[in-house]
Amino acid sequence: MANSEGKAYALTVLTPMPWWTRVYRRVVFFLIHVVHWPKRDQVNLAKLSFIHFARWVVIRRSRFPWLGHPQPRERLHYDYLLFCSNFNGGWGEYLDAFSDVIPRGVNNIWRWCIKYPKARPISPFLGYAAFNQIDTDYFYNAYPGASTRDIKAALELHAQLETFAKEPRTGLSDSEFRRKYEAFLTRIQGCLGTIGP
Amino acid sequence: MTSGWQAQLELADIQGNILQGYTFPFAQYRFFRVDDPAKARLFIAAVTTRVTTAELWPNHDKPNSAVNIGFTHRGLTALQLPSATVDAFSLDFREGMLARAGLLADRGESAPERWESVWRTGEVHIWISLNATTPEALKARGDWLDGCVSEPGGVTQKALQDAAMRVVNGKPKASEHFGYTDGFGNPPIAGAGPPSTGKTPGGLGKPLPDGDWAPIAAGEFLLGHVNEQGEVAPTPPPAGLFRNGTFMAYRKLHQKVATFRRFLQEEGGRYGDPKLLAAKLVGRWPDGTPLALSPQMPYQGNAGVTKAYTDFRYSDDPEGLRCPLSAHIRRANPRDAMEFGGGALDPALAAQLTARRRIIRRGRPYGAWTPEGEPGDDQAEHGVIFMALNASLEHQFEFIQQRWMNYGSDFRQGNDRDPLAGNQEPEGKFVIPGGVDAPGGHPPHVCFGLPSFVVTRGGDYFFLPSLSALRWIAEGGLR
Amino acid sequence: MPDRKDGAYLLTVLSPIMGGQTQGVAHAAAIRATLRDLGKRKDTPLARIPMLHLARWVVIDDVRSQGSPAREEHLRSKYLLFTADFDGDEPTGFLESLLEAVPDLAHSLWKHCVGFPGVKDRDAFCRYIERCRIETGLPVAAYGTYTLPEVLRALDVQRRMLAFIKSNQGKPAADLRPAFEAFLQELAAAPQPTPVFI
Repeated sequence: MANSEGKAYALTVLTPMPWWTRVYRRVVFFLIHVVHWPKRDQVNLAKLSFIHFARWVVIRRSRFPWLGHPQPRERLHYDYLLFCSNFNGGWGEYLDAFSDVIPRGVNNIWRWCIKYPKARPISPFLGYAAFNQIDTDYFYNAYPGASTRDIKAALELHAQLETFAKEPRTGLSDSEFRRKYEAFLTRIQGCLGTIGP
Repeated sequence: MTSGWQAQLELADIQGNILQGYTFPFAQYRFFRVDDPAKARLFIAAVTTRVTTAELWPNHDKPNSAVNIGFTHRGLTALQLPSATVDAFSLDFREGMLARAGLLADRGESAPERWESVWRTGEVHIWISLNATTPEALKARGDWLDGCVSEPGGVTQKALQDAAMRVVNGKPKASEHFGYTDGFGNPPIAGAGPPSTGKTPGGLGKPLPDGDWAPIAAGEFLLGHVNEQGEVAPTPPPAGLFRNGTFMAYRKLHQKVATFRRFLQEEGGRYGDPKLLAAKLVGRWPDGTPLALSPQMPYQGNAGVTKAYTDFRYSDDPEGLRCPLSAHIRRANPRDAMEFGGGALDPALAAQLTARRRIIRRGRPYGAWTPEGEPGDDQAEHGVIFMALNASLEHQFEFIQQRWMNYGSDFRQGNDRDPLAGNQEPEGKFVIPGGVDAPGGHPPHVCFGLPSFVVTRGGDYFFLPSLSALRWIAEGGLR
Repeated sequence: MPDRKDGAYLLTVLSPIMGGQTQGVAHAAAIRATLRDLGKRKDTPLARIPMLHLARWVVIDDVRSQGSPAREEHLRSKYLLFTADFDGDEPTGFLESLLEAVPDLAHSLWKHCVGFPGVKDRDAFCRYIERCRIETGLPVAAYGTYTLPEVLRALDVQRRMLAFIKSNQGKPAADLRPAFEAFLQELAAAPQPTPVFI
């Protein structure tokens, strides 16, 4: 199995849901995706900055891809929720953070899954995730030495540098330039962490 | 909100060193191997009669020494506890510190191959700590322990470690070898007993939005109690073995005083203020004054500076202009400030997250002191005996060591490590934020090529049972 | 469109794997062996795809029964899950790039899947993937507005900026400005970084 590559971990979790919860799910997913509800949890999730990319995917029981004979058609009772996340930090830390910081948001998405225990307290939640996790067979990461926070810091630094480079310099004395340079350093001083594997 | 200050914990059942920081200046730690399980259990019974509990001492009747005891996983196995119980302990404790040295960043100079031999042979089974008010009281307690070793015996002493506070003009000082005042910041624990005012002292525990502070849930430090996650962490049966017990990481940390002093001089010259650099590394001036409260000078030397050594927060210093984001005490306990480059988390949330990652720190310095002004000697035998007490080694001590001491992502420092305690990479560095808005107006400064100042000489993980669990172990009651 | 978040496309593909065996090995096992071998290589051939941030292949053997009173059920086929996070509005550009960069790998994996048309006909391959695509319900992308080249460039600039700070910290003001101008030139001339271990 190859669950991690550099600083990123690939988590895949597949859990069953009763098909008749479809209507409620649609409403909630709409609220989450379009209206950014619940606001606080979404803001906090963004602030945590430890997910590169993630997706929740609903596979309806009748919609498992069927490519023709001789593939047998699936005859399933449940719909399935597939969660694929690329994040930084250990498996335990990640789920800890979900449980501590955005339990409501997490519960809103998984609430229909069979035997989902709620995000708090954490031990049953970790057990549920571990039970339903599928190991990754191959994981590709174009920047294994960079966490999401590293990337955001580098993007911020680059943007600040481009802005500073555009500031007029020709009329300045040496000490005036130095002052401007130091002001620029102040703007990027939160972006100087060493990046690498 | 100051609920939880009623004495709800059974203090008589809990080992004293968990809930009380003895202020006894002199300590001795002894390590034993179990040779004969039956006799060793009698030895444990004899020691248990003197084990100090967490009961508060009346002012007129303070003891002059304290005794506490703990076991490694190998020790519990050697005592022939039922294998189902022994096997059911959590993985961190079962593996022990040496096997987990990699995740603790104990490599290079701190690698286990270079640890003191007692820590490499797997023969440390029992730890007994003696704390005393005077060297004479320590010797008397030590003689008593020697007596237990010879009769009933069953154990062999494999090592002895002395440690003591620095004594200056007959008075003990809470000082460590790099020159800082130490011993602040241990969290108060809910249910451990009322302080004199009935209010949590400012700066200890969990910062609340209304300005007050709250004790930390007992389950963070004692098994069998509700923790900050709102649950009683599951333990395998028998519950009686685990309840009111805790786990300890014991580490002998050598301090390279010469390297440290040279660094302060050279880098301090580059920074332009060696004394301020010394404060920026730690987050406190050497006399203990926190930078968060007094960013430009220590308490001693200026009467205008408050003496509140612990009552401060960081959420009003989000850029680290007063106390650097990477400073040692800010990393060890981020209090109410957590920011990862996307905007600060709500301070109440940050405080709640930090409350899950606290440890109780015990210990004493060891070895000879280096006079001020002297360059020091990296080879001299001195350092600190560091002990971290927590209900979960993996979630608390190991988390802090791995994620906050030897990684920087939670402080916007990328891979950079704690400047004081981190095991530095060749390109290790320390960023001191600054700017025209910073107190003193220093521009931002980066200390490149940061050396490691601390070297691990050895240690292990111990289980500190309750008094009732100790009696059961001694009587073989678990069979 | 839920598959997209800012400028990023989050593709989820679920391909049914053929039952039976090939050369004495079950198809799913053959896929796993190929992926294991891929993981052992020192190089990463997917790095040749210029817009791909992250990707994974997962063989799904079955769904997991949660225990009574939940109903026990099983999948009748195994599936090869492929997820890819890349820059773009739709999958075609990425899929063409995938075929360009790693045609043998794509073939060696998907040839074990039902209805796979091979890698020679790009349109057929894209149609096949579309048949297996599952629409993403909720996407998350932390820096979706930035392309992979932009991310790699920023990481490189950050590293160079630190080196500049190191060389010039404490230098006299008269030396700082020419050094900074030279630094800007260095950045302008620096090649576009590609995905390598940084």
